Parts: sequence; structure tokens; C-alpha cells
Amino acid sequence: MNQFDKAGIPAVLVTAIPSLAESLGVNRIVEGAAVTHPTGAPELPPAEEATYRAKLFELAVNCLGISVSGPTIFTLDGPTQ
Amino acid sequence: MPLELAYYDISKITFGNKTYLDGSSLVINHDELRAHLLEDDHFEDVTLHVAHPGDSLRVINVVDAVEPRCRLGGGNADFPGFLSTPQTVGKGRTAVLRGAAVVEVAEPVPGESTYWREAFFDMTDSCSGFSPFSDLANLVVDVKPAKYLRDDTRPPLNVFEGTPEAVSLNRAIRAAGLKASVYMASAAAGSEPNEVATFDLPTSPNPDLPGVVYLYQLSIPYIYGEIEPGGGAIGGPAHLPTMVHPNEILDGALVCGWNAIACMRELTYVVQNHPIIHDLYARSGKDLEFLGVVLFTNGDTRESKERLTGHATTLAQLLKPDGAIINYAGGGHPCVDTMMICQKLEQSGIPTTVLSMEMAPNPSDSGFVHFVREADLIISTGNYEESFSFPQVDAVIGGTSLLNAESSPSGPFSYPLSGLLGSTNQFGFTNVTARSH
Amino acid sequence: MKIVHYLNQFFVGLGGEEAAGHPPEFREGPVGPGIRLNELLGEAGQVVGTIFAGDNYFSMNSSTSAEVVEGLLRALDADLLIAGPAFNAGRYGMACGEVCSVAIDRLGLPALMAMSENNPAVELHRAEIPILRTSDSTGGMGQALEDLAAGASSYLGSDGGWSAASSLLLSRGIRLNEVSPDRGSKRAIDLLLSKIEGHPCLTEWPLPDYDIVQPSALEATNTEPVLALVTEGGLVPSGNPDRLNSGRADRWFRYSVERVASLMSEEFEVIHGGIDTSASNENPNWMVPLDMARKQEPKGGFSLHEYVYSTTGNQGSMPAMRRIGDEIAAELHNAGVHAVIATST
Repeated sequence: MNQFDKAGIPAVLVTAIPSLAESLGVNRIVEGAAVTHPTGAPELPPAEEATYRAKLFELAVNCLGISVSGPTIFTLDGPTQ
Repeated sequence: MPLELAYYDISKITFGNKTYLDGSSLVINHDELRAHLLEDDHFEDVTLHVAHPGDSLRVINVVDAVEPRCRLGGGNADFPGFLSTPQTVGKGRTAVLRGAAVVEVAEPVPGESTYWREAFFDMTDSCSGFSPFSDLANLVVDVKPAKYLRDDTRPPLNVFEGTPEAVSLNRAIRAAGLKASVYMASAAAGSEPNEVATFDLPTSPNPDLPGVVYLYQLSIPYIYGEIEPGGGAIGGPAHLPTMVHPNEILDGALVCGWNAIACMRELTYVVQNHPIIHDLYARSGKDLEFLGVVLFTNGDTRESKERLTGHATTLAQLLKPDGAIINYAGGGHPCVDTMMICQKLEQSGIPTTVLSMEMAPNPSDSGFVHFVREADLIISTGNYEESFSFPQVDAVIGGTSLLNAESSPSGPFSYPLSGLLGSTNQFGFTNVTARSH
Repeated sequence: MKIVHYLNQFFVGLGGEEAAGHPPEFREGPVGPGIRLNELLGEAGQVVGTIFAGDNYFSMNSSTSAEVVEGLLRALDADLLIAGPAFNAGRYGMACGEVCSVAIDRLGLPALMAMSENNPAVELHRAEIPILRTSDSTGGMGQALEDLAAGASSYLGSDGGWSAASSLLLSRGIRLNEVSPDRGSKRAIDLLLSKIEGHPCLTEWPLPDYDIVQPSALEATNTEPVLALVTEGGLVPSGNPDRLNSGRADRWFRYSVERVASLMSEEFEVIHGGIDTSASNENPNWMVPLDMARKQEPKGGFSLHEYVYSTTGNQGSMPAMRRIGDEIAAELHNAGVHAVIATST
């Protein structure tokens, strides 16, 4: 991840373990659904699942444009720190 | 009122017709103690052995180890919640047979979680410095479970717990060790102790000395007879952190609750002699002031980890410490809780050190489950993935097979340090540490 | 003291790729860089012979190569094997590792190999084989040979240990137990008191390497920024035609998704070896969100890059992952990609 930032390409990581990504110095982190399926929520009914995923992806796109100063975790409830 | 531990130094255990102290030898009425332990109908039979340093002997399938102790005067409050009502301990005088231990062993029964039962130590000098029990005079209580428990073929529902019957047996085996502990230490009543040590927190800490708090991550112990966290498993519902008086911990309020990996099992013996609490007491008023202990377990979700670590940090801050010591209990993701507390304390200006065992099998694996940048002072209590050679011994107590070693339990075999009882203890009880090469 | 030297086809003058399949062969005395090495060794030892092979030989003949090398080594009765320097050449480094492993494991013959810390063979062998540090490129040949001569001399003059040469060697990367004079609880208190007083103290367990990288900002562009999807979740076309590793990955692949609206389970699968992949295999978009990207592309203010990039993070070593990241980043940079959304397990 850090290799992208180093090359001047802003990158966001969608992961279910944001704290690990944070400790590794990843700058933009979006909290994903689960370790086994970061961008899907199979336990939800299909309609809700599609909404969840759409929001998650939108969040990932949006935070690429947000300026951060260091590792920052974005969740669907808003950024923490 | 402080806690007084009256130490009676023991170097030898023998069997006889009555139970008494003969200088530094403890003579045990074998038949009386055996009958006492057989009162529990979980057991078909109980065999008693002695194991001394230098014996060509290996003890396997260990459940727990206990230091022989009993309360002197002040009513019956031995191991509250187990052998007495859950009344508060940590005050008054307790007799300690220093240099001795009771070790409970039993072959696993079907239906119990057997994975972490791989727990052994040698009485030869091969374990010297690595397992605390190699240097003690041990009474080994070898339990044969009742037939209905041995014949139960149902698989465990939860790999960490086992069937309800197996859980009940496990608790009974631990209780047998506690009973033997009290029975043995009762022999000291009326004799002069070799030493009496007094333990109390400072009433008015010296402001010129740094105040230190200890944040104690628990590995599923019984606290006053009740298992913590609820459900008795890593991932069980997390309770909020709490504070107890450190004397309660030294005086039998905590009993080992589950068969964690042997090298980091929260053995009752080690908790009774908790090295961080002992060392903080020993230096309190000299180069530091010991302020207290915060107990915490681990959350099972991100939210509960956040809640739990925040609260543990708050409790520690209420003691106004200048520094904090935290231990990682082992078991994987509880490391996240430990590291989060370290981070929160450091960010609030409280320097910390963290004790942790390592799981570093090869150069590709750093051995860390989790870390924060603030954890810049870690005390390594050893790398439990490194394999060691264990020699052939004349006798084995505790069963006929090791689960994961292909060779006979009498050896010789090679085995990771993880199987050696108490070797990488998370409180720094041993002198084991790991270094980069 | 008798030293046997291992080199690849290039350094003995057989040629490059065209000779990469050359089977192991033996020549008396030093060859190529071995000649200078032999001079530098002076009285300490003599290069009595050189074994060489093509870089691809070992991967193409994995079942028989060890026997062949063992046979050549046995005939020599040497005191030490020196392999390389291989610098950052991956296949050459791997071959050095194979030859040294045969020497150590099968013959009990001490061995030393030389390469750059970035050589992929380092992670595989550093715990078992002493590795002498070199530069990435052959420009460091002179220094590497001097260091090799110094390291070999100090070993041959010792009673069988590498400790005198340790400043020239890469760390073994392993953590070994020892008994400290003080128990852990006392050390924890001692270190804490030093820290409180502000004295410099050393951790007993250094944290893993990590980079502090300044976050990049999205470049202002006249057109819509190009967005690429990347994963370490092990996404591959069904059947894994390129054989991406399910763990300890040393490679990455790109797969075209031009005019693909969604990752269908008939066409893609997830081969990550560290997780339950059933959910992601049912719907690969749950690992790499291509379908959502396509849905939001028209109004989202971005356009999607024509490839997705995939590797496997499972048990990955830090140097390998860093290299893979650098390689993907370089490609994205050259392809004019402006931003990345990555997913990880």
C-alpha cells in the first residue's frame, strides 16, 4: 500500500482489520465487512447488501480525495482520528 | 491489615503414616490424602507420585500446578469459591510450603478440548532455567477419570471448552490440586516459619518516587470460583476491566481456568507467586511506589475491544501513575487489546513496558500478532516456536502418549518450547528471553 | 584449506539466457570472478575447483539436481563451499541456496553464499545458510569478492563459527531463546523506570519494519482520474492459469477487465490460502468490488483502469510484499493511473 503513496498515487485500503493497517502505516483505510470478504456482506438480504456495498465503495472513492496527514481510518459512520 | 506469607522451606516430599513437617522434608500420609481426593466422584482412581530435581522423570498431560498453602487462623478461606465461600482474601496470615508444588495430571478424556493438553516438564537438568517445576519438590496427583467420562464419545461443541461433563471434570481436577495443596500446608501449623513476608500497598505514596500500575491481562482464570470472561473461552463475552487488591491475587483468589498452551498457561502456582506483583512490592518505597493492579481480559469485536481498553486505561489513570506495566496473556487476538491499552496510555503521557512471548517460527514471520508504534519497549519472555531436544528418561508420569510428538513420551524427542510448562510465562516468571540472530 | 566455488552460466562465460538450462559441471581451479577471489584469499585457502550450472537448471530438474550436485561435491573433499556473488539475480540466488543446502544438509560441508538483501533467496535460506551482504548490481563485484575473501578467511581461521564475520553477513532473521541473568518481571520494571527517567533504552523485541510514507494527494487532472483496483486477496481467473501462490507469494498478475461489468464466479476465483474463501468464490466482487466500480463509474467522477492487479498477502514476507508493491506501483505510474482502491483480507 505504502508503495503506491510513495509513487505519488493516492491509495485506499479496504480491510476488516483497520488497526493492523494503521500500525503498518497505511494512510487511507476503509473498514471493510470481514476478513474473508472485505467488500461484501453475504449475511444481509440482497437489497440491503447491494446498498451496503455501494456505500462502502463510494466511501472508498471519496476518501481518495480527502487530504490526510497520516494513517486515518474511515468507516461508514465517519472517520475515526 | 496486610497479608503475611509465612514461608516454610521444603526440599523433599516423602510418604508415611502421618502428615507432618520434618525439617525441610514434608511427610505425607499417603492413604489419607488419597482417600480425601477420591471423595470426588469424577474420579475412578487417584495415584500420588513424588518428583524431585535430578530424577530421570518426565511429567506429561499437566492440567495445573499449585503451591501448597493454607490460611492460618481467621476462618476457613482457602481458595475461596472453590474450597470455601467466595469471601475476600488477601489479609491475615497464610502458610506457604516454599520449594514444593502440587501438579495435577490426567490423560485427556474424549469430549474435552485436548489440543492444548500438550504440557510437560522434566526433572532432569534438561529443563533447568526453562521450566519452574524442574527445580521444585513436586507431589504429582495423577487422576483417572470415572468410567462414564472416559467412555463419552461425543465430540466437543466448542474446541476451547469441550462437553459440559469434560468441563466439570476439568474443574474437579483443579479442585483436587487445591485440596492437596491445603492438606499439605496444614502440616505447617504450629511450626516456626523460615521467613515471614508482609505485603501491603503504600498508604501515602512518596511523591518523589515514580508510581507504577500493573495492567494484568487474564487468560481465562477462575476469580473467586467464577470463570472470566463469561463462557470460559477466548472470544467469550468480555467483561469490563476491574481492580482488585494485589494481595487477593497472591492469596488464592485466582485459580487457573483453562488449558492454555503450556508455556504460557496461567498456572495457579505462578499466580500465587506473581512475579510482577512480587517484584513491584519488593521495590515499593525504594525506587518506585506500587499503586495497584487493573485486571482486564479481551474483547471479541472491534467495539468491545475499544470499550474494554478505554476502560482499563481510565482505571489505570485513576491511580495517577507515572508508568505502567502491561502483559499480553497469549492466545492471538488478545494481543490487540494489550497493544491498544499501551497506545492509549502512551498517548495520555504514561510510559509503558509490555511483556510478551513471541511466536516467531521463521524469518518470514515476525512473531507479532499485532503491534502499535508506541510499544517501543517490549520484554520478550521467549520465542515458543523454537524447538528443543528433550532426552530419554527412565519414567513418565501422566499418561502413555504425547499428542503431537511422534515418538514415545519417554523420549528422546524434539519439541517446541510451547509444550514446556511455564517456560515463556507472560509475567516474566522465568529468565527465558529471545534474541535476534 | 580447500575451497569449492559455485557460479552460474553467465559468470563462467557460457552465455546468458541461451545457456540457462546448462546442467551442473565441474572445472579444476578458479574460473571468472573465482580467479580474483583466489588471489584475495592468499594463504587462507585455495579455490580448488568450480561448479557451475545454468540458472534454470534447478527449477527445471528439482527432483534430480540435489543428487547431481551432491555427487560433484563428494568427489572434492573440500573444507568450504562459496556460492556467488549473485547480487539481486533471483534465479541465481535460488541456485546458490540449493547448492549450499545440499552441502550443509547432505555432506555437513560448511557453506557461504553472497547476494543482495533484496534477493528472493534470502528469505528462504537466511535462517540456515550464512549469507554475505552484497550490492544489488554487479557493480559491487570488487567489494563483494573482498568481503567474501575476508569472511571465508575468518571462518577458516576460527574453530568453526561465523561470529567473527558477522558484520559482513545478513542477520539470520530468527529469534532464539536464551536464559537472561534476570527474570522478565524485573527487566520490565528496570526498563520502565529508565523510560520514566528519559534514559535511552532498548526494546528486547524490535517492532517489524514499517514505512512512514507521506500520504499522496489526488493530482489535479483535466480528465477524470483513472482508478485501479488492486487486491492481496488472491483473485485469479478460474483455474489459476498463471499459478499465483496461495501463500508466501513472490509474484503478482494483472487481469484485463476491459468491458467486464462484474466478476462472475464462473470466470474468477479466490485462491488465498489463509482464509475461508467460500464467500468470495461465490461472489468474487466481495473480494474485488468491480461491479460497484462499474455502477458508480458513470457518475462517480473517475474512470476505471483496464486491468485489476492481484497477489496473495497470506504469509507474505515484508521484503517480497514491498517489491511486489513497488512493481505494481511502477506499472500503474507508467500507465497513467491516478488512484488505487485496494482490498485485503
